Amino acid sequence: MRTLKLTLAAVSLLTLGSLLASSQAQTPKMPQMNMASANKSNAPVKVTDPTSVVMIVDRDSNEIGFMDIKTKKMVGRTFLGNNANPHMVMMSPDGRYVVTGGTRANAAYIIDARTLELVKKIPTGIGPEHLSFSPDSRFYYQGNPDGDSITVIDMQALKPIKTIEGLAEPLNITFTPDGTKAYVGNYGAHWVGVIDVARHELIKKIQIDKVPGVAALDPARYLGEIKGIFNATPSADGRYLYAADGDLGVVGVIDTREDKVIKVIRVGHDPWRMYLSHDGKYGITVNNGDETISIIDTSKNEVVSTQAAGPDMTGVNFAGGKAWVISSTTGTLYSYDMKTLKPAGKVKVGNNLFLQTATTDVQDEKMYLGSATDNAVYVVDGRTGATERVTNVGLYPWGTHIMDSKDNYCH
Amino acid sequence: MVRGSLTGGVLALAALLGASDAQGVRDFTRSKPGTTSPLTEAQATEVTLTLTDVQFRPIQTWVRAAGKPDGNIVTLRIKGPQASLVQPGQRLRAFSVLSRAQMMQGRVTKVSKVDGGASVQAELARPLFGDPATCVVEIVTEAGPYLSIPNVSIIDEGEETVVYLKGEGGGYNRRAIKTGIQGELYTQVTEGLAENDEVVSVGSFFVDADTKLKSTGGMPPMPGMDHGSMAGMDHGAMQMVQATPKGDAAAGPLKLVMTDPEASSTVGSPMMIHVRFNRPVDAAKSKIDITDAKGARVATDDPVPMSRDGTMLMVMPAARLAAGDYKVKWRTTGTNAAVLEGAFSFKVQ
Repeated sequence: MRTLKLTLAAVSLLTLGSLLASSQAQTPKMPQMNMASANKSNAPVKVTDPTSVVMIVDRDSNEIGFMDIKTKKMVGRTFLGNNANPHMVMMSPDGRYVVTGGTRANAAYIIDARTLELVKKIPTGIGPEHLSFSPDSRFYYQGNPDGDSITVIDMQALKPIKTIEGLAEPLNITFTPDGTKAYVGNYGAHWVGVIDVARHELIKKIQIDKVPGVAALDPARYLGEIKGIFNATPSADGRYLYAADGDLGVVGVIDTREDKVIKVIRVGHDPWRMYLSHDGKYGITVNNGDETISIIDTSKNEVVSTQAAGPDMTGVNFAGGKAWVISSTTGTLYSYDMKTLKPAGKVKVGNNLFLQTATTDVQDEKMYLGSATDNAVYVVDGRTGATERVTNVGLYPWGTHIMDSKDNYCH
Repeated sequence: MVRGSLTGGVLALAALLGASDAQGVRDFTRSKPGTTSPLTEAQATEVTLTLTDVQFRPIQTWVRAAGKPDGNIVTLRIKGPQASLVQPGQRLRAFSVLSRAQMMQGRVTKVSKVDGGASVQAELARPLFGDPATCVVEIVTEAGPYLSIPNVSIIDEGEETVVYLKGEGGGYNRRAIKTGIQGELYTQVTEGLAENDEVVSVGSFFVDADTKLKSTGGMPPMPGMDHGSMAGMDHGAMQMVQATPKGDAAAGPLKLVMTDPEASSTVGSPMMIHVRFNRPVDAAKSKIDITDAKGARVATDDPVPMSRDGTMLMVMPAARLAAGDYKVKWRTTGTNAAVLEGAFSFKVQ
């Protein structure tokens, strides 16, 4: 019988080999895409190139607006439903879908990126805000800060497949470039959650720094309304993450190979998050506690410059060789030269404005800034600071997004 | 049985399998899958079992190649059939070989045919940071829409491609399909599925494994034995699972519960002859003789146990049985020392 087994095994291997060889030899010829019939519903295609539009989150008109980058004309709006209250928008990396979380509706909305049709509304946890896609476009993670959870949505089935519990006011989610892990900033805690994307499970909590002993003397600050971690920002090579902690006034540097904090960098008071320059050399934290910015050299992981800024900072964009810091309530942009790391002037966008967040085009030249109170998007030239106002983009534009932009963020 | 004749028989069997039933060889390492598998809700939850509609979708294939950047211009060469997919105007992403995180958008601007492929020029939105000598370029090509399913739904078993569809009563039915273009996330289906069918996507491997496990019933697969597809075996009538005794107390005195081929049946040339009892038997104290219509003895190996519970014996003819009548005489000793013998006949057509 041993001989029998060996012979059969040999024959099996030979046969398997020939089967594999024959299957590999057949490479199907791929016909060309017929764009006109690409959408099943036969609705007209409004966006033929997913990189050609700026997506605008219109919080109070409950819609996602689509503005053509070249013409600055609105090419479509997708109404989500009454009281949806969208918070953040993002396009899937494959350009098939645009998604947003409706904070008041406790739902995720999925839009066909070509026809701009709303194709699915999916129930989520409580208060969905920030979101992210796995790099292969398979999974959409929707953070639910009020429910302390993340809803995992399978973008092939367009169905929720899991709820990841055990988080503390989860805000932004960062996938590793290979898509194996995701890191969650917990604003209601001082740790970053590590999620195994294969199982969609929280596998580790990385404490950024020790909560000081003074917490016992000032529990309201440290144990009451916690201002923890908003985001884990990846380094240019994807190996390290920079997680700013509001209460602790530090940035923890996490090595993603070991999921350990390798350094803690002290920055200004109440840092919101760190934004990475597009060349990866510097990170900037906006410190709303003392109205400064801290510029970190990522090769040394040290603060190399601290500069005065403005109140209520909601974001940083990099364009035209400068960092542009948005001071929300003053309607002002503060700019900094990224070679000298010195201030490069202020731009007053307008009076009585409530600026939100901006995205930058892929040429790193222009920014598209949402302005909530005048229902406008301002197109800002990164070199000159010149602004152009695009009106009637929707009610209360809260955020903007361009596919593959390096400044896609929310607040 | 001497080793020479055994080897000859094995070679004959192997040659036969290789020549006429190559797929069956692979089945020696696995059982014949059943057609349906009921999963518990807990199992489905554990594996995040997900169903996805079969739909018409564009299928994206990302053509990857190494590029040589010069400012915001990248040149690259694509070899093989994928070169025919690339056209001017297609969008792409370029990034340093060190990190995908720093990728840059771009467009294909020029495609020239060269020997065995294409030479491609692309323009990036801006030069790559760090001025790398080489970069990775992913060109997004799209075709369709085609009837398609997620790649993760597909189980490629070499000889056939299968998926699982949700059936009645919580079961999942196995279905063989034929596929066309395989993209990054979706694969075209050319046969076997219809629009709006629901296939298992996440969890398909689990369903497949579960189906195979359950379909083996009380008799685990053994090397060298194929209960599903081996030529000449009529397994429709075997009903092995039902015949499996559950224990001595229930089994009663030693008795024969089935044979394969069945007594008085007409079958194709069988590879193996099986007899099964209600109790474990001692293979070393067992004998199975096959004789043809002229009474000539057919060369076989000694009987071997073929089930984990020790109730089944098998012999393998050294050569393919020619058409004609055959008689099988068997004698065995149960582990309770009871001796039992009998005979049955069958016809090879």
